[in-house]
Amino acid sequence: MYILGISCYYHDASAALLKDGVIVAAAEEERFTRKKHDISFPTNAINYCLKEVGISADKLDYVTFYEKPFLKFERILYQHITMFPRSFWSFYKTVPSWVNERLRIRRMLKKTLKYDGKVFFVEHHQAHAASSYLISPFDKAALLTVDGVGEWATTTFGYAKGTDLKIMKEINFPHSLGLLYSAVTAYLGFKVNNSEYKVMGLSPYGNRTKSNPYYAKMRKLIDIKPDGSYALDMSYFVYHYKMSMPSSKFVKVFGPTRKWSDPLTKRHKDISAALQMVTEEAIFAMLNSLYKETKCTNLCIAGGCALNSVANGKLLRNTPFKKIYIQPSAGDGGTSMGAALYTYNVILGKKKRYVLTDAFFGPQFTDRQIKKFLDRNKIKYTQFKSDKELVKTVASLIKTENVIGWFQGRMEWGPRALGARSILSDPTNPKMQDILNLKVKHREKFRPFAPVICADDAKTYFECDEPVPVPTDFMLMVYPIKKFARSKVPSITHVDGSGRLQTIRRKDNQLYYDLIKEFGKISKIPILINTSFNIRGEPIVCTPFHAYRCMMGTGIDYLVMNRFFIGRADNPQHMWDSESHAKD
Amino acid sequence: MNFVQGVKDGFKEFGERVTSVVNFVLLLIVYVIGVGITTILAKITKQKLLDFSFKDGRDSYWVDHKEEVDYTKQF
Repeated sequence: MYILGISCYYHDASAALLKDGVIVAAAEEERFTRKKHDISFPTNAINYCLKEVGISADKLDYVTFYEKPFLKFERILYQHITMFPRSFWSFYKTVPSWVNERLRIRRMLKKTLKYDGKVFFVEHHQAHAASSYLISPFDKAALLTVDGVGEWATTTFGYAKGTDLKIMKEINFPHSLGLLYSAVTAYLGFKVNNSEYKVMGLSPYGNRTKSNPYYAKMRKLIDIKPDGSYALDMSYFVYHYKMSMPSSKFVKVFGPTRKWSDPLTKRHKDISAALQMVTEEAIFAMLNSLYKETKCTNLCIAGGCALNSVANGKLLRNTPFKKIYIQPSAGDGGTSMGAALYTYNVILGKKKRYVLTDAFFGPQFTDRQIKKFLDRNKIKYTQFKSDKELVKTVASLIKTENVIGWFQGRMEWGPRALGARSILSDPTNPKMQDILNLKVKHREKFRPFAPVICADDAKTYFECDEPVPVPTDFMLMVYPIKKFARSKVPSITHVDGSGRLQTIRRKDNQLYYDLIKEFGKISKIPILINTSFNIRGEPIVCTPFHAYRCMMGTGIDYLVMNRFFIGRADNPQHMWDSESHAKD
Repeated sequence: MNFVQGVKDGFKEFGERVTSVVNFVLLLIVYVIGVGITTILAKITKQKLLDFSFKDGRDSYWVDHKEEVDYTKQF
């Protein structure tokens, strides 16, 4: 039985395919169209999923959409009715796409896929909850979903046992923790639905105590009840009727809005710190209340706010929960998978559940395909004879200040590079943050790079929960780096001594694991910098062409694709300057 | 050739601008008549379509989730 899950038209369009309840392929549309956070109907991602198992769309048993479009449209109309006439511009900008595309899912499926079979529509937050719980290792769990907004709900909690999944309570639009975070992201001059993680990364530079002058002001925007429910003071926001987010009252209280080119001052840092503190307070209150209701020590969370790895790293220490699960694509991109799983396990009532242990569901390329690409484009390369030779050579190149493009196996599912499409370098080199920024990433100085470490070494270098939670494998937890190690890995140590680590287990990615261990033998520190393999402003690379183009347009020194080894300096004919075209 | 292409591009741009203006006018009419009249009706009947309540004395902002069991429906 084949079930295709689809999410699109809001942000991060994606497709996921289940075969008899097992995830066989999943990918975000952006990786194919090269348009970051592409929201369009995921034709390319669907075609990839179908190609992966060698079927056409007429062989699909069910297609499931990740939300109920008419219910969402009802909410949008209610916004316009309530805010008339101030909502005209937003009405003019958004309603045509609703009429032409968003309310015509069946027609779109027929037109693009020639699919005329059964279509299900699962609620947005049900898809989120399913995307986490149904692939978790738990047989029962408390559920929390927090994001911007679905149809009406912005936050939900529930409980699941076996394949029975129930949403119990919800908080509805316009009150939204996700939209509060996005509004402050916009106010601080960053891009909404893209740069919330930058605000999270900026927060440790601010005052993280209640004496922060903006904490009290931020706390006035949100009323958090003892049962974890919350409401926003909507006089500080305009997102319910405008294309922008904070109101003039917000600006009056917090000071002038920052433009993206303005320098980051102490005020901006304190505001981001206050936001992070309030967000954590709200999440911990919800979780403590959720535990009281469910008395279950397993927790599954999902939604855009579940990507807040700083809060995630503190969850088990601040709530009664003992175990946590978050899937690699916890935001809206992951709802296609959730919708498909919900169909299989809940709607169709199948009892067999799939447990997700790694994130490698995207396209992969054979040696033959890579060789063909290299030869056709007259690219100079060599080939390693064995994995052992590859690991030894690459580890020593990393130790000698080289930046490596690492392209191996199936592409990752979700926003993080996890060792299939990664840029790797040496965290022990104090200059490496500057080198990486100068050569490749060109990102804000305040953002450190992320470390990757073998799971069995994690407790030696990080103050992480025990046992190391599975979401750490997906780079979703920030933990303090042990004091003795901070000076040894300066490029991955944040200003507060924390690191957003990825742990790797050998069974999930043998080559990657062996490389880290080999680097450990040379440097005495078994940690690498792992950052996403992309040009600034572009999605993570997907194909050998994207990877080669990225290396030649940036300062990556070497590219390792399967066992093929390509040096940038050996191919000067293809060099170009990606930075002159980059958009953040 | 360049002249012909230029004329074609000019007509295309003109067409797009006309479409944009027509869309704007149509949507304005729909907005004023459709949304506007519904707004008046909602105000007369005191319908509260969005809940802006903040610190209104209630103990909890949670609302019960209404389970939708017909998954073939888009609403």
